[in-house]
Amino acid sequence: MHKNILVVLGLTLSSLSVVCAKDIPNPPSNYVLDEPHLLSAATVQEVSSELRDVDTKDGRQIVVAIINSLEGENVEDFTNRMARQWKVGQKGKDNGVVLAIYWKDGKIRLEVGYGLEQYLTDAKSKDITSAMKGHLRNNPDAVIRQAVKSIIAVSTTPAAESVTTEQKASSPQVDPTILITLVLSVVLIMVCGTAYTSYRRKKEAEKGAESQRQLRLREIEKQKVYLKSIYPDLSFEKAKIKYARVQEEEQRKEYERERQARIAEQKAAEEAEQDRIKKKYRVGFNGMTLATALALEEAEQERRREEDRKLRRKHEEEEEKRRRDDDDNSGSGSLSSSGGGGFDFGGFSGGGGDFGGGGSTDSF
Amino acid sequence: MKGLLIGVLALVGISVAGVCVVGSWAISSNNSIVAMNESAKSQWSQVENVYQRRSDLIPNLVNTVKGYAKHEAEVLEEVTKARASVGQVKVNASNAQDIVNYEKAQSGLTQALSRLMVVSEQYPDLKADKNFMELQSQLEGTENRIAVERKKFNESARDYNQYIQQFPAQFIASYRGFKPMPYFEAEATANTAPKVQF
Repeated sequence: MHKNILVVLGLTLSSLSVVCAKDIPNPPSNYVLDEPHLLSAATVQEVSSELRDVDTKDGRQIVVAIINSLEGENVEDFTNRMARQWKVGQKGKDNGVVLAIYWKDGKIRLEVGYGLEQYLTDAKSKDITSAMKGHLRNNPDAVIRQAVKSIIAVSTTPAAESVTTEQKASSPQVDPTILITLVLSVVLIMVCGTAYTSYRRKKEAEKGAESQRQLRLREIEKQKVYLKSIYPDLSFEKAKIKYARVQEEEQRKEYERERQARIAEQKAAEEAEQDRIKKKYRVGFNGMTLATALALEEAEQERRREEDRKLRRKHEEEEEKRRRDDDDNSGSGSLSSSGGGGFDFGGFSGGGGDFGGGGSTDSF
Repeated sequence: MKGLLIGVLALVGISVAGVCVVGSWAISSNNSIVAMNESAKSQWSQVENVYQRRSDLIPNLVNTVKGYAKHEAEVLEEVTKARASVGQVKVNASNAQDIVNYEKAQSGLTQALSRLMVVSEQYPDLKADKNFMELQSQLEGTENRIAVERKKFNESARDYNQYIQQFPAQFIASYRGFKPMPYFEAEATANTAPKVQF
């Protein structure tokens, strides 16, 4: 009687478990996931390299996953999902295998991809998992090493094309005809667009030229009116000539005036300078003549210029020195930063083989 | 005059382009519907394969059990009958009703089988028989496979159903006569335990 209750409980539990979903852990890049850290580093190393060799040799991807707890999930369902999400196996060949051990729940599941089902049959899978049951708790290293070897050996024949190829309803393929019509229509739109814009541009240019012409005509009208007011008796042409000549004459007079002003300025400046020198060297006393005074002034100017030059040279030398010192002090370039290590392992290469639920489940 | 000509040309060009775009979209939409439908149908044939695998195990199972539990003729009879009725259901995957009928027949067989397994629990000699143990494990494997293929079919059917009911594609789908596909419900036995009379 109690057996019926167990059956009911078990079945209802498994139907409920769909609601609370456990997250699938990240795929292990070294083919071995060991959440409870059961295995020694040596075992992980050995198993990992064996599995990597198999993958490199013929693309069979066998992964060992020891997980702490199923957290209420159904063991076959969860392992199947995990195998597909990790993309274990080559797409099309479906030659992936996942050996999953759920430690706290005491469950082993060997999930075999479609392509290997003919070699790693349900019966052979059962053999492997039952062989693991006995000593898994005492000696996980040895048991898992042996299991991996058996799996590799039994699935050894590289799978032919998988018996059932899955056709995915992937995103719809783009028809080449659609592409062509799209491109043609785009080209058509572009051509029409450019034709229209060039037409508009021409129209705009014409309008611009027209308005320019209007402006010019108005200008000429204004001129006519003005000249008429000044020389009412002359014709337009003659008035223009007279007006031009008058303008020229005015300009010349203005220029002459400016020149005279400049000359006067210069003269005044010269006289002022002479006065200054006369006062400075006391021309007219003690036999000082204007000529000597001018010579002395010249000499002084020369001296001052020489001093300036010397000062400038000194500054330049100091600059040089300072620049050279700076160069020496600035050290070598910044430290090179080490390149970033680590990468996010998103899943196995090969596109991911498909798993149809073959394999075997066992408890330990 | 020239402006008018250009304008008309532009209009014609744009409408031609528009027609091309709509036409090409319609083509691609139709092709996606067809592709998804075919994919769902091929997934359906996977489901049938896997159910067939189960059906093939049954004669051997019935004979093995008969060897140890002759008196359970009733249960054995049930199983054999259920298997026969499954074999009679012909399914055309585009016909939704066919799929529903097939699923009903199969769940009848599932129930009969689980009753048989419960009965077999009472025969320790039978349980120890090597052949029986192998058949049992094969049945478990097949049931698991059935569950996986049904799930995949549901996924495939869902993608298809979603697409043909979403806005633009629904016109093409109804015009071409594409109908939604039914899903596999949870097995009736999942929530009810089989009754055993003592």
